[in-house]
Amino acid sequence: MKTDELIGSLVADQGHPPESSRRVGAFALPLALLLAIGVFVVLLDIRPDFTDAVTSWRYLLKIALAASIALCGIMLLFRIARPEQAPAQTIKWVLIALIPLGLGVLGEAMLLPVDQWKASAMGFQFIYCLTLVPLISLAPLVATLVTLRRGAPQSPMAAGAIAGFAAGGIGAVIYALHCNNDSPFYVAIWYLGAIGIVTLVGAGIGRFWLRW
Amino acid sequence: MTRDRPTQTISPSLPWLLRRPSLIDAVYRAGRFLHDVTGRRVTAVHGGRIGELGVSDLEDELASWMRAAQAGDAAAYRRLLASLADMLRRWVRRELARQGYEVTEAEDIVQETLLAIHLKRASWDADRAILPWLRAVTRHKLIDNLRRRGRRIMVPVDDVLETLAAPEPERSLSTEALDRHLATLPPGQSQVVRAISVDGLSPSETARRFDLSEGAVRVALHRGLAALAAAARRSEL
Repeated sequence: MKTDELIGSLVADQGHPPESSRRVGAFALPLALLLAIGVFVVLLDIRPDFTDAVTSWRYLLKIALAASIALCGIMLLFRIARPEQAPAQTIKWVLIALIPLGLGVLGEAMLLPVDQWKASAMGFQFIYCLTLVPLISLAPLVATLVTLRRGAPQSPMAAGAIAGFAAGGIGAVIYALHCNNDSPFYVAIWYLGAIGIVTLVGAGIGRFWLRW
Repeated sequence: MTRDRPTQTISPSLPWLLRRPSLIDAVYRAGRFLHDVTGRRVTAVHGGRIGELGVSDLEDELASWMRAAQAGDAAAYRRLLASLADMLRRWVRRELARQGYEVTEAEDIVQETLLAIHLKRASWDADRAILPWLRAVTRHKLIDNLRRRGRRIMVPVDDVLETLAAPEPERSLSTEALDRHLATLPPGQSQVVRAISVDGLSPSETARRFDLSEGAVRVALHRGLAALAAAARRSEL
């Protein structure tokens, strides 16, 4: 095939330009959020002491951390979808999302006597956190990956990881409505662990599915 | 290196929904400010060596063609792809020669890159400069190709598309790679792609030849081109 002939077929295909990742994301992400909330409603319920909990700084910090991961993740999603963006420059911003947690862990370390550290870090049945957060994140992960597939990320694996990070953040925000382990130690280990699982899954899928 | 368009290369990439809340915006702006004062750029700013045509002229011309093309101007799109093919050919040849590869393989890479530019054109944001985007897509496809040839390489970012040396005579070279990949496609797609590219038929003529609706031809063409790019990506060279 000659290059001019190829160009001819590309021009003939110009008629309907593909959707950009922004437009796909603007549709897929809200839909996935609704699905994730649906999974939450079916499996879990909001913690009974919710109205008291929202007045404690630990609980608010937990929500804030999860929300900052979700928001940062979604912003980075649209950023890493552009081919000009070097993945290393994008991943640096992930650290910004973790600043609230760092402050919280410092505060907790100062407030809490050392002999209670272990108990508050292990919390109550962390295995639920490790399984339910990824489960709730499933629909958001599909949405973030579909969004990125419309883009042109330099590194498919890094892009998949960001997709997983954002989806894990969304899952964590929703799960936090139920979970009553509020210590920043617990959040640092088990929430980040759960988000890490989703991030790894995203990276694994992205490595193959986001190639272009 | 000059900083031609700092606002374009480092502007925030927030989805429009998130651009509203002033808090997020403030955080983002603070981060951008830090980037600026520490001199760490998010992407390479174009500048450096240029030929007789200034980089900003080239930028404006390519960007205006692409904008026209996205608004449905087929002639502008043809012009854009034809001049990109020339630029890519020169650059890929020089890069291959420098890495010690056969220059004859250059046309395969040019064609794959044109396909990628076409399929991923929605990832160019019309508010941004187009040269950094083109450079990134080209670099991605070149690295992808050379990696498949079994070697990791580094490609300098700044050189791409900016060497406007004397034009080379061959305007339309032929390759076999795409024909080979075309043969692996479902017959419905490959016959439509072949009719439109090799035989130069219009979608409506193609529809008449195969007794299909014009819509079906367009869908087959679109899927066929995407499948062609995927087949090229998977292929062992």
